[in-house]
Order: sequence, then C-alpha cells, then structure tokens
Amino acid sequence: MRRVYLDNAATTMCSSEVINEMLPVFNAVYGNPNSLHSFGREAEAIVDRARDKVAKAIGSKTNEIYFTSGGSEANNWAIKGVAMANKSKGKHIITTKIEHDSVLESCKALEKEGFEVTYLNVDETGLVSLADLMHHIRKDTILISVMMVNNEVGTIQNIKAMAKTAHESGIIFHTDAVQAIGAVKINVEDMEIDLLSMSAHKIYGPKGCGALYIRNGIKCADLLDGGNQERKRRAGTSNVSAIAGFGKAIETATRDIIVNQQKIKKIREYFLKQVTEKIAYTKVNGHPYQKVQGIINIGFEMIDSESLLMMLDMEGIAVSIGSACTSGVAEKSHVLKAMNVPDEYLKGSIRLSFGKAISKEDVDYTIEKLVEIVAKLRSISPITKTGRAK
Amino acid sequence: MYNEKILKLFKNPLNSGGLQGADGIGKYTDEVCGDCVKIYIKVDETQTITEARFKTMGSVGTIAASSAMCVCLVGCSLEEAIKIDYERIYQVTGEYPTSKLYCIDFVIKAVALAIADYHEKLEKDVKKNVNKLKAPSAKQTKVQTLENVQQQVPTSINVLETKQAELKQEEIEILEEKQDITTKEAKVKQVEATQQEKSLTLQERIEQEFFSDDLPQAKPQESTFLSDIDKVEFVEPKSEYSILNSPMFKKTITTTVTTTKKVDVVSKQEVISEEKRSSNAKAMFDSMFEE
Repeated sequence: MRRVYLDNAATTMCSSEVINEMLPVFNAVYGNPNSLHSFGREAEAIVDRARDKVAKAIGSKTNEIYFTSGGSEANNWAIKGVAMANKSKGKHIITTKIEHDSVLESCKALEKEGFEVTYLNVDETGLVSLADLMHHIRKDTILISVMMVNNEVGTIQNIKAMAKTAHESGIIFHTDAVQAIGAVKINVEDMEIDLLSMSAHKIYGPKGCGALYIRNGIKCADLLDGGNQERKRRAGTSNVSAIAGFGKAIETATRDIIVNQQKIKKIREYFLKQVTEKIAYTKVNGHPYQKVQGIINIGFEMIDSESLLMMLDMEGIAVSIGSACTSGVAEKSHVLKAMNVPDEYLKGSIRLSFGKAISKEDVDYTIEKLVEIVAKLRSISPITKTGRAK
Repeated sequence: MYNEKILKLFKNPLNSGGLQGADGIGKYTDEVCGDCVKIYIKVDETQTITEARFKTMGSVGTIAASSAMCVCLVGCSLEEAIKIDYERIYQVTGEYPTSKLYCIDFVIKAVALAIADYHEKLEKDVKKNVNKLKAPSAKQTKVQTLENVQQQVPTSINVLETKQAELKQEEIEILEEKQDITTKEAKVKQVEATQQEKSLTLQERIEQEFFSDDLPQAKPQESTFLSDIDKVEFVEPKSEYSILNSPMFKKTITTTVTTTKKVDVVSKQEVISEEKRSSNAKAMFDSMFEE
C-alpha cells in the first residue's frame, strides 16, 4: 500500500541537510552555550551562526532575533508581552477571526485581564479588509496582529499596507508568519513589521524550535524569567540542535522559494483540474490567486470530512480537517466558519498540503482513491441533490 | 480513538442503502454537528422488524453505530427496538470512546422517528379503508360512466390529435422566445457593464487615484505564484466601511501613496499634531540609546 503524506501544513519531515547540521550537536559539540569554557563557546558559535541565518532570511538585524520553543510560544510572547508592557497607553487589541489558536487563546486570556479585543471579519476568500482595520483603530489601541498566510486556506494578507496603517497611529504590528516562510519573500524593513513569529517544523526543520523577531525599540515584556539566555529576555538553555537545524532549514527555504513554488504550482493545478473534472459538487475554499501554492482546501457536498479523512487514512493517504491542533475534537473549522462557507461544503471540507517531495504517482494515486471514496460515501448518504442548483 | 471493530464496520458497513416499500422511515439531522441519519424499517403483521437499512452522512462513529443498530433491529419487536441502548450496540461494535457517544444518540433518535412514522402510516391506512366502506354504491355509477366514455371515444381521439399539434406549435414558439430572451439578456448585460465602467462617483474616483498603486480594483487574474511579494497587486476586499470615511483618514493622510503620482484632490502634507511630533521624537531618542 502506498503511503502519501499530504499534511505538510501541519508539519514536515526534516531534510537531509538539516539532519546533517543537527547531528554533530548531539555528541560532538555538546556544550551549554552559556558556559564560559571552550565546549560552551563552540556551542554558542553554532547558535550565533543560526541566528545570523534567520536574520538574513527575513531582512532583520541579528540582535533582533530571539529563539523560542516554537510558533505558539512566539505568538504568546508577542501578544502578551506587548499588551503587558504597553497597558498604560491603552487596552485595545485588534486581531482577526482566522488567526491560529495560539493567538486567539492568548487574546482570550488577555480579555480576562481587562483588555478589549476586536476580532475582524473576513470575506468569502479569507481576506481582511484594510477599511475594516482602519475603522476599528481607536486612540487606546496598542497592538494589531494579522497573520501573513492562513494555515487552512493559504490566503495571503496585504501585510505591508496594514503595517503602515498601524504605524501612522503609533500602533505596534505583529504578524504570524509560520506558514509564510518558504512560500513568500519577507523583508521586515520594507514591510514595516514590528514583531514576527516563525517556526522550524513547517520548513523541513525540526520540531521544538521557533523564533520571534522583535524590532529594536518596541516595548515587549518577557514571559520566562531565569538565566540570561537570549539577551536576558527568554530564560532556558537553548535547544542547540534544533536551533542549528532551524538555521539551515530557513536558509534553504528562502533560497528555494521560487523553485519550490513553481513545482508545487504545477502539481496543484494538475490535481485541481483532475478532481474538479472527475468529482461533481466540489468547492475550493480560499482565494483563487492571492494564496500560497501548497495548501488546497476542498469541500465535497453530501459527505462528512471526518469519514473522508479516515477512509483516506485506511488507503495510506494523510490529509487534515480543521487544523492539526484541534483535530481531536468534533468542532468544525473556525476559519471556514468565519469565511461563511455554506454549511453543506463546510461539513465536507478537507485540507491537502503538498510538499516539495511530492511526485506525480502520489498525486495520481490520491486522485484515484478520492474519486472511489467520495462515490462510496455518497452512495450511503441520505442527502440528495434533486432540484438544487450547483 | 476508535477500536478495530468500529473501523471495520465503518469501512464495510452492513445493511447500508435504501429500502423500497419501507413501512417506516426516520430521518434525523443534528443542528449542531450536521450529521444526518436515515433509518428504513419493514414491519410484518406481528409487529416485528424483518428488515432494516440505513443511509448516513456523518463521522466514523455515526456510520458504524447506524450499521450496528440495523443489525440489532432485525428480529426485534417495536417495543424492544425503542429500548435498544448503548450496551446492546457495544455487543456489535465494542466500546465507544466517551467523546463520541453522541453518534449513538443520533441513531437512536432516528429509530424512534422511524417507528413513529410506521404508526402514522398505519393510522392513515386504517382511515382510508374506513372511508372506502362508507362511500355509496360505486358500481352503479361506474357502469353509467363507462357507456358515456365508449360513446365519446371516437370524437375525443380527434380532439386529442388537434391538441397535440397545437401543443407542438406552442413548444416551438416558446423555444424561440427563450432564445430571443437569452440573446437580449446578454446584450443588456454588456450595455450595463460598459455603463458601470464609465459612471464612477466622485468617491470611487478619489479612491482609484489615491490608492491605485497599493490597492487596485480586483481584476480577474490567472493564478500567479507569489514568490516575489513586492510585485503582486493585492486585492482590497469589499467592506461595509470605506477608507475615506475612517476616523484615521480624517486626521492624517496615509503615506502609502507614491510621491510620483499627482493628487489634485487632497494635499500631500502630513498633518501631525504637536503631541505626536514630540512623542515621535522621544521614541527616536530612546531607540538611539537602547542599543
């Protein structure tokens, strides 16, 4: 049975370059970067080199990068840190309804502390309107957080315009770029971003490492107290192996943006053409062209997404519904709900995300099995299409 | 999450499909979850269920529970069928995880609806039979009408033929009209589109001139790959608010406009209040000495 992995938006495998970069840290260069002796200094050199690579990838200075344990920690730090440090100026935060759970839950936690949060609506393609954002800015707004690329539908937001709008009112702008790295060229100076969250395991790096970019001069409180790691802002011994892997992964990802996106674009268009021709009553959720190539979110009418996922899993194909963090629960995706996807398609929506290692045989196998399984599930479905328009 | 038996039942469900001539059909759709379970039952004279089938749109647990329920229903009396509970279903599927017990609830409700439907149909049949018995001697009236019909047959055949010819003509006329209408509609749409392009209100013209570099009107583009985000023309989605009416816009003029474009409507100078100027200067001073 063929095994096909189509869930690269949830996590990716480490590439061999990354593994080779990480291996020496386990038993050759194993010192603690904080130690004063030579073992420690060698490990510190590895961390510094990775930091340089990350800074170069997003166009920032080296002393503005802080390594964390992942994208969720970076989001928590950005939102809670900025809120706590700037609460004398105001207590209003603006974010969107399609953010990742780590951002939404951080905002909910801040609401309990007395902050006020506005969740902006999105249109049917998942885009946030600049006019909406401008309308909701108040005198006591201190933070705006809009994710660059959505993890469920792949829509890209106009971050440059939103960041400039924020700066004109003196508001700090944070963006969650976990899905954007490797798919979209980022330059924090050009786009005027103040805080940016990154994660390693979406770009063929190891799990357990991420980074937060904080522009010099932005007031942001620290969450973890203790030793003087990360310039005394985030305590805890650095995860040297994962950091080394992260540096290598982000270097290759930003170097290969065009090549990867071109390859995945061809596969994506082939896949969509075949699926829409062979299966009726499908809907592709998201924006038609302002999107990253790797993520496809398709809705099938008259079937349920969980049963479709399990059937595909029994054939060896891995896809996802909702987002990976919430896939154990029966709740439907909050992103698709915010986009007002019609109920019949919302019930049967799955997300497929292609990686750079996908082959045409895998795609053909997936299409064949999808057609079979959708037909089988529709034959035992009580919902019929009599008299309904497409 | 699910045990092996549930997954087997899900992959190859027993008793799936519809039932022609079903005595009772129960369809339950859950509002929260959206799952839909439809149960078909055939009941014989001794009020025992002889056949049961299902059609379900739902998760793994719901499909497996529907299949298990149909297996349990066959051979039950109607009273026993209503009393089927979780443990009876566990005999077929094994234990369900506690977070998925609602799947079995849906199926139980659908069975109850099927049995209620069966009872309703029974009552209707009884009423029909009673009405038939009460009606006057239908045989006599039937004989008279037959003789009348036999007389009218030859004339009615001619009438039918003429009517058929007329109907055909009407159909042809309708088709021609439809074609005319569709061509006319297409023309009207074209005219309207050209008109819309020409007539822009002042607001729309300002928005176009002011923001044309950063926020162009939505154009139907082919799918582009966005490796170079600077070259992409971002789309501004529709909103109930307009940029010109936002409180922000009234205070300051955005700096997203490029300096090369001429803007006749509003002046280019930034209007910054004194407080803001001083706070900007302070921020700059702080940032210089932070590093």
